[in-house]
Amino acid sequence: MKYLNKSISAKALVSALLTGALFLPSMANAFFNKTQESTTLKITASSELKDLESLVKAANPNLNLQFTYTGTLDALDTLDSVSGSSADVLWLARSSYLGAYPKAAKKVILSDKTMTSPLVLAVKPQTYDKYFSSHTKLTWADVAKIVSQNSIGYAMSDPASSNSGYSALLALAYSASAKAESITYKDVNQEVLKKFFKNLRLSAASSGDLAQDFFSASNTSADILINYESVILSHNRKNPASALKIIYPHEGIITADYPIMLVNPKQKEAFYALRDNLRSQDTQNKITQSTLRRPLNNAVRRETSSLFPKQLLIEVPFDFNAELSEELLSGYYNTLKTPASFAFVLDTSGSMKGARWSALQNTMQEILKPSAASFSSIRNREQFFLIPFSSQVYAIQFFDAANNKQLAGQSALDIMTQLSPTGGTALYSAAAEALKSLSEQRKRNVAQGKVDYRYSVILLTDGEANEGIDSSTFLEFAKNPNYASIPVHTIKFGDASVSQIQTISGATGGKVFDASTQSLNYVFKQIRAQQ
Amino acid sequence: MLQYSHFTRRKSMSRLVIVGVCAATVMAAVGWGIYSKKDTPSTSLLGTSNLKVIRGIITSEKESFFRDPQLAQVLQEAGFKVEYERWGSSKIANMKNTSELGQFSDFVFPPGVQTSDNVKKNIPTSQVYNVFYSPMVIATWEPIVDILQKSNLVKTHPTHKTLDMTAFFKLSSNKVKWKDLPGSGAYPVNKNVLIYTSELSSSNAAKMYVALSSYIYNNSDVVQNYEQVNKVTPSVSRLLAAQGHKEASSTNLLADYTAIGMGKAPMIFSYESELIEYAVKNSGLADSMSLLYPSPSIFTKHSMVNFTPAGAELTRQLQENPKIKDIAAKYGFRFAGNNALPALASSYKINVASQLVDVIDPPSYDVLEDLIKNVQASVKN
Repeated sequence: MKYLNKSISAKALVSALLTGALFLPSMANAFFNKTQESTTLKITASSELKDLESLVKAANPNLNLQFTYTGTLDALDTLDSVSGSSADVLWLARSSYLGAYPKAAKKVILSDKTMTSPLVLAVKPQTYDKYFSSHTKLTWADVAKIVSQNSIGYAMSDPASSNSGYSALLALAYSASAKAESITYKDVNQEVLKKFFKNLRLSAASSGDLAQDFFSASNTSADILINYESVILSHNRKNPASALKIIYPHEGIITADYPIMLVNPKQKEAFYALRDNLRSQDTQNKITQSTLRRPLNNAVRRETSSLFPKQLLIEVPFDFNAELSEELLSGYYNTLKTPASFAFVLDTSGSMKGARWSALQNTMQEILKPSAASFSSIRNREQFFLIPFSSQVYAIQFFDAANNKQLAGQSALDIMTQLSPTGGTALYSAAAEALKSLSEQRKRNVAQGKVDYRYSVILLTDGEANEGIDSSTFLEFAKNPNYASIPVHTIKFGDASVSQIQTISGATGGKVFDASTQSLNYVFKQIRAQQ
Repeated sequence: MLQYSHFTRRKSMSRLVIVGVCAATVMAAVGWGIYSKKDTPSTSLLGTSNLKVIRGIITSEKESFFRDPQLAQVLQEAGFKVEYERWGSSKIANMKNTSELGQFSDFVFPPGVQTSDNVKKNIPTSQVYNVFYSPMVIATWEPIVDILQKSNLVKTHPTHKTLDMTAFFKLSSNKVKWKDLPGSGAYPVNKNVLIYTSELSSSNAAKMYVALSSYIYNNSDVVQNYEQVNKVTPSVSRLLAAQGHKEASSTNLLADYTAIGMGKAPMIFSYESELIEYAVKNSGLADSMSLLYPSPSIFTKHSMVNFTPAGAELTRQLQENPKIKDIAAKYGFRFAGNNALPALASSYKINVASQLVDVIDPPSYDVLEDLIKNVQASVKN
């Protein structure tokens, strides 16, 4: 009897273990499935793609997608730098720029297009009816002429940071040149461009931000928005009462084709999975229906053809050779674009000691040093004030780069290095002094026949106002018509009070920039892109 | 008594053996779970541990074929699995020895027999085999074909249309604009009449374009020496320089054509295979897409270079396995001596040439490389 029991239990043991052995692989499968399901993919995307985030996440439940948004060219700048990008994947409006970023180009392992949207001019209906409706086959040069002759304000993003801005600049250059293809800077009629850029009223470092600013209630000066067809069509669909009319420039189209690019070789499989999903018929259909971008998939294209105009769009031959782009951008900032006359209002209170002070000094070096080559650097024809403040506003120094850009930058830097952080924070007084200085400078400029400047203030503080005038005094002060059209852009730095800086920016039409999640250098670059 | 103790001993040993076997099975199962997860998403528990892995280098126009799950299945049935890395064709051509391949050292599979021949020249022990080929085509649009027809540049054959390359290049060289051609109402554009290509430094398709244009500019003769290279370089360079920015690969150029359309890419130089692959994936070509075959025609012969018996195994499979031939046809690849492709293509709603006469050979590898170097230098200036 005894051994019978033993044998039964031995058999039971055997069967239990064998059964367990059969189940274990699927348990192992489940374990590894779980790890696979949570593959994290970090994506840096052009800012206007924010409208796709939830759709793409929902369509790819097996991937943990983390999106960061930026201007197209800024993303390539980052990839090109020594430290490179922390992203696994870039999803940008265009990748043709890689020709001018050789280090970045080497890091792109795979690249595939996902969807398209042409760059267009979108005009407020009254403006369109008055100035554009009687014309057909408007080229960029035609539009530029009408805009200049009638002083129509428009919004365009910064060409050094953003694809839509650069594309517009390039398309306009082609339109304003005698040759049809392969132009050089010499071929471009600069007068046409100069007159056009006088009417730039709104700028931003990325297409998405620009659209937001254009459509916000604070936009009172720009009637035309240069942006992607998808952004305009989406706005029009949601807001039929304020729908914009679209101009597709004749033989002047540049289409964003949204390549998705792998830069981290370890993420190949996740990349393929995402790419294949984005190009699948189902996701293509969802993308087109919800964001009005043109699909790659043929079947979806046939089904959604009624959403887009039928006309043939002729592309500008897109040239991003380094030489032309450098000359175009340099020309844009130094010769063509209306120059900035602005103020640096800088908090030098005691709390700025240490890391904050180093960051500020570093950033000002980047902008002011004579050998600087970045697009935040001081440009020819600019004027600027240096207004350091703590318990009070100290001497207000003025610099005119038109005389000597290097000298202006160096002189300002010399002052910066002599400053040291100490004292309280007369925040509102400093903002008020800046408005006053720029207003007076504006009068002086006009008296000298120098009418073309864009005025603004860049204000950095790391704490709350505790000296000088208070907020209600400032608000009263800012109402003075002399201070109109001088936005104060503020930077959230250190322990700055968000409500206080929002008060200042809100009262003057400026924007608040967040330096707690971005480097100070990058924040200044974004602000300079707006000026 | 003896029986009992003997039995007991055996029992405990059996028990140990059984436990051991179970433990081993369990560990093998878990181990297999780990192995199969890493390599293939869905493999059955049994029978896949004996797959022979073949590793090599391919180029972009073959990537979709190598990623085809049916191909993986057929190869698996034959006992193989392929892993690859993707290089540009120039990188392959410039290989000096197999150590550059890392673990992907069984084969390289470039487009163009010239590339394969050059690899063999540098690595004499390697073996070169023709596997499949693809004619070069001009992917264009019906309105464009109409316009070119009005200028007598297009000839209609029973299964396809050809473009007179001599006459066409004359238009390009003379910088004729589309709007200047008679009957160009559907494309009245102030841009030069041109065929667009991918980037010469990275793409074999662009090299075939240079080979074809060099033939035309050499009085309809294959360029054979340095003197002829010098003669044709200026004209060939102008054809490339006039295009401006180019995409790095033929695959990306095709994406411009299919994604953005006639406004961006009125005529592109492409592999017939890529258009067939597109038609298979999209149930036919898009509305008003049209193909022209250049006359004279030029082919790209995809030949594999093997460095190991494993590479040779893969070649054998590709050349002889009938199931693989069918799969390759879905990607537009033609096999010598086998004219099954046109019928298959038309079932995917794309009409391709059933026979091409007037086929020219490209120049030899050395001459072509010389020509390309000269053209690149000339385009830069």
